Amino acid sequence: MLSYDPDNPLLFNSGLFWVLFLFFLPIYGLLKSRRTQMMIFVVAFSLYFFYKSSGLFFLLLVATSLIDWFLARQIAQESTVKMKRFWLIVSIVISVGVLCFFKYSNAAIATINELLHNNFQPLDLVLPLGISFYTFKTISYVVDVYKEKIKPTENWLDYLFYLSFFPALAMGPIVRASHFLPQLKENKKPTKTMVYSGFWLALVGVIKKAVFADYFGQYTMIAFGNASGYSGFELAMAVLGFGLQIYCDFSGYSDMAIGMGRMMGFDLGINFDFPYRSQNVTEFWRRWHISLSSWLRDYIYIPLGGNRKGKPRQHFNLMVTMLIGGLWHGETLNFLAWGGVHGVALCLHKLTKKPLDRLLPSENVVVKFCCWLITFVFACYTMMMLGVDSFETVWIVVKKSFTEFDLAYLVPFFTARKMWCYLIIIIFALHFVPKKIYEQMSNLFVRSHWVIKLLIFIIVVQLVIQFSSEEVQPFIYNQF
Amino acid sequence: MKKAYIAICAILLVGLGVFYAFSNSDFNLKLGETEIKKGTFNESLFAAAPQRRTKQRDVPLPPRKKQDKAEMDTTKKTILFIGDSMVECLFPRMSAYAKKNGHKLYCVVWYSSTTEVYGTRTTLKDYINKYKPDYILITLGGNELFIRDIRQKRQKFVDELIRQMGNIPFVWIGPPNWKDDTGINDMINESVPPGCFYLSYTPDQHYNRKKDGAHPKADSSILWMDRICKWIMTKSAHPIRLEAPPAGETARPTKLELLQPLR
Repeated sequence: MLSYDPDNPLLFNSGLFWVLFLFFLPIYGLLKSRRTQMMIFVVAFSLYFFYKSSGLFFLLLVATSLIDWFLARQIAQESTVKMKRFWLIVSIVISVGVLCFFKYSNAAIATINELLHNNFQPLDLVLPLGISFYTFKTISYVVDVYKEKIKPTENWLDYLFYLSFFPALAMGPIVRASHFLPQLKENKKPTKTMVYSGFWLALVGVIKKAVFADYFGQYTMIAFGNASGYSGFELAMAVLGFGLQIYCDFSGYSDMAIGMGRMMGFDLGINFDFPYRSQNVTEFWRRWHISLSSWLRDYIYIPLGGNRKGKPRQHFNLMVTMLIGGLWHGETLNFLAWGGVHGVALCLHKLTKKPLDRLLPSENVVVKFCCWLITFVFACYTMMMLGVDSFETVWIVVKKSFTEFDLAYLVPFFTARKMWCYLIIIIFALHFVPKKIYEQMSNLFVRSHWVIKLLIFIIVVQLVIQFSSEEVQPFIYNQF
Repeated sequence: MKKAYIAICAILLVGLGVFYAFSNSDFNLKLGETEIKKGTFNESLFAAAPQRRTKQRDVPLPPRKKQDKAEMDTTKKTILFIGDSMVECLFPRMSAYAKKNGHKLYCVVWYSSTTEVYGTRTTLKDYINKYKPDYILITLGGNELFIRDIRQKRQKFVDELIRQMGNIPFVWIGPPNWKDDTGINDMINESVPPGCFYLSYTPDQHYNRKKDGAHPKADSSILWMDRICKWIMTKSAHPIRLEAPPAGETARPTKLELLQPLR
């Protein structure tokens, strides 16, 4: 319980977490009205959560919070803009420097080795849990203090609570201080509706992550791991599967985080808003990882000039923003290229939007469907870049799935991987269910008897157990 | 709020309690034809075994116990060569070895099979009773390279297969990975007696693959079988005579049985 095992990080989808949460919740409930004691308890739990996932790196989070809390106060106290700016730059350089050191050092060493034919040894580094997320949180806090959008927190504990808040620590959402700190100050008790709807959302997240995403992942990992051995049809299915897998994985984890936050009385916003319903790439980015895309917009795109300095500059700003967004996701060239491709697509959309709107009736169902299809295929194929290990594989997947696509594989594929296909159809259908239905389901759950809630919980856990031991057939054997 | 928290805790407590009790009981449930699976709560909560990956090794797997070099058995053998579709790649060359050295070779190819497919049935035992081999070659694992929690899911089947083979000398031929696996090679190696596992996934073993990207082509399969036979003669726990036939020569086995994939 107290040891750190790098092979078994504590995450929301592990059984141990839910057992710990079982003890956490009543104590939290008892302490909720005593603000300081509650905060000390939650911070201690959050740091334990961090320790179980990243070992002694939890001290890095403590240090970051201390430094940025101090620097933010310094910025607020300075009377001259010059000195405010100085402390802001110091804070950003430290935050970005630490992030770059952990995330990009080894990639930089590998690039230098390749370019200069050197043989520098890579550093023995472990990426601390959620460093990309809490770094963006701390930057937004310091910048908002600098811009006088918010006042710095009175005490360090408030800030440490915000930065280390365990539901949002590992994978976001990147909740802003301006949104979170007032809730902490108010310390309102969560209503019964908040608690139960939060629990519902967390269960939905568990299903998305541990049933759908993990099951889809079994096949996509096999297919992308050996792309040249699969037919065009099978690779196209893997691309579709990966697009849905990454959505279920990430949005599932976000749902768990937001749900747990809600159970504790905090609103963490929304992070995914049915992104695969989008009809263009701009809309896609308004629905996909909303807390990140709005962060990139507010702290990179707009400060660079946004759309205020003419079209060419707007496109340049978009490209820079998306490239940074790509690098934020990962250190390899695949991520950079992913950001670049999305940047180009956003620029193209902005360039062609007006003439296309004039040319095509936007309310026409066929036009709508075509727009959706193009956006969906684009999103899935670009997501695939995050799931393969090299550009060579990206090329193989794209080439084979477009030039060797043969529907004759449909029946054998379906026969060999029935459950996989059913789950794809289910998640796809669920994605297009009106939001109102989800709200009604959540309300029904809130109002239901506790025995019904228990039954639903048992069904969810059983589904996780059932699917975690199901396996996807690697090959279609009747093909040879 | 407090009532809601108490209710949530009760739900978690009762729910997890139900699963804990179910996973530790001998009680089995079925819903129609679907078996209600049990969670491995004890392991996953308190003693989760780290998931190890078998990476391509620079050196062969070390034997777990120091062993004296075994003497070669020069008698003619009845060999049962059984396993998944990899048997189909290997048996033509193995048949040439059998012919050259006077062994009988019975081959069973079960397409798409796994340690689970064999381990939950008596197929292996049935073929042992049918052909009465005094040497077994088994190749399984190629369809299980990427299974998560491999030890939790497959250890019992590997143990069952070893049990079915009893005292008959055997060599388990590991799969020719095309990518690092999630631990199947390590698991089999640690389960069989020393000198009974041939690791096919080392940097010095290159495979030209068929169109499926997994199965070695005929030329590669011949070289693969040559390496296995050399290893059996010189390094295995039960060396038998396997003098090499002319380079590239293949033959037909004494008998070949093909089993279709389960649906």
